[in-house]
Amino acid sequence: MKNKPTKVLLLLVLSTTFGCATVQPWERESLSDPIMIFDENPIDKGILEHHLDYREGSVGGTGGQSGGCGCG
Amino acid sequence: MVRILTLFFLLNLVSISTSQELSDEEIQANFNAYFDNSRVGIVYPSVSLTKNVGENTSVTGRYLVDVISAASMKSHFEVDGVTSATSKDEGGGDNTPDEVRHEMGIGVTQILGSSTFSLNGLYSTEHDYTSKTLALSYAIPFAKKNSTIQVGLVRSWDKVFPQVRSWKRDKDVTTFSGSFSQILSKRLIAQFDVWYSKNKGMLSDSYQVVEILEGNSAKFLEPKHPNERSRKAFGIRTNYKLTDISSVQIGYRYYWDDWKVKSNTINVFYQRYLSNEKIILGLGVRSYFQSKAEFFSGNYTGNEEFLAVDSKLSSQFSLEYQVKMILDGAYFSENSFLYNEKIQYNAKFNFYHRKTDIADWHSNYKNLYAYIISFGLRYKI
Repeated sequence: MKNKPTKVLLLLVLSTTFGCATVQPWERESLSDPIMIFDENPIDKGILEHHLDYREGSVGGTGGQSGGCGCG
Repeated sequence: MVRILTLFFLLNLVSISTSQELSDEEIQANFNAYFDNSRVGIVYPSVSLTKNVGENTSVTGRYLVDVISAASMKSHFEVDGVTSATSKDEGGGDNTPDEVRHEMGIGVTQILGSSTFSLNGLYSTEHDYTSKTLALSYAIPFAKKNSTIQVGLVRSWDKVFPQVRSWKRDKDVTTFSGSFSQILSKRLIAQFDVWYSKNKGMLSDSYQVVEILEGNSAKFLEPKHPNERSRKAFGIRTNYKLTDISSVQIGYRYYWDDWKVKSNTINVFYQRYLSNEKIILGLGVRSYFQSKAEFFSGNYTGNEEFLAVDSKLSSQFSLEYQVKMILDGAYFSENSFLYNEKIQYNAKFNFYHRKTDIADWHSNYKNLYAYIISFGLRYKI
């Protein structure tokens, strides 16, 4: 455990796995709703991600990928 | 090239949802516009087509064009005139700056048993920059599809040849990503992302100018950034169904790299159905805090090993607000022109405010105010 990010990372992974209950397919009506899907429109998300990639020094870790440009 | 938001591209990694199915067949057209207080204006329309070619395979084609405002290009080259890097006062080396970028992408998604494999290729070209990108991703669900693991690899080969320089240099980017999504309850899903990117080659912007003060005089140099950068990030986000007609997404991302840039990002996005579920209204806010790169300075007094004036590398914070509306074509039952049950209309407005601790080298502003407006439609084939 060398640094703070590693500790936070481990904590977050554990937080997503503890307390998981199996949800059967017929119980997923709420989860299949369009407003429950991450990045329901990936192209739409790409526009915003790229604008942020260019103006800020950070990128990644948000589930999408942008790139292919001269934005350093 | 770099001064302007000329392009975007999203590698359509498989959206994590509760099932491993092909995306809907559709045609999507979007019109986007960006404006900010440093006089940059960009419009970028795009069109994409997703079509199934069998039960388990779909292909996607995409085309985008960026059109950049003349004001931003002119401003850009005027700056380079200061450095005497080009013999022209404005307009770049040939006095006819290309203000259009073209981007073409093609991808294929294949269902293999319960898993999904995706391959995307992209080519982008503009007058001073080209980029070729290949992206692979693989997703597999398990635990009765309550959990999904996805891994991705993206490789970009870029060529940089600024109009005000005589050289051509490479920039190579290799990115690995992984995500783990987990259904936590009938109303709650979470996703955890890890990301690593190795950048090599030309990582600075040759259109930028570093001013070195020497007594009463000044000289102007090209930025010098390290030619390698290792970038890492992890993030977690959750989506919770508040009621039958509303949900809230909450996300956090931590980023760090070997240029000593570190950042924390928090975002919240609320969505709600209106008008008998024919309209989705979305409201979002995003907050971002960043430390500066170790070699970034607002005041260089000599020709140091590294020189940087790029505002991206300054310590900063930003806030972004978003209003989004999705209208089902059935909503327009009394308008025969707009009514179509296969069409979805989208509209979005974003307001972005960034404040850096050191004023931007070009605009001299610490505050950047930007507006992004988008309109689009999706037609289910």
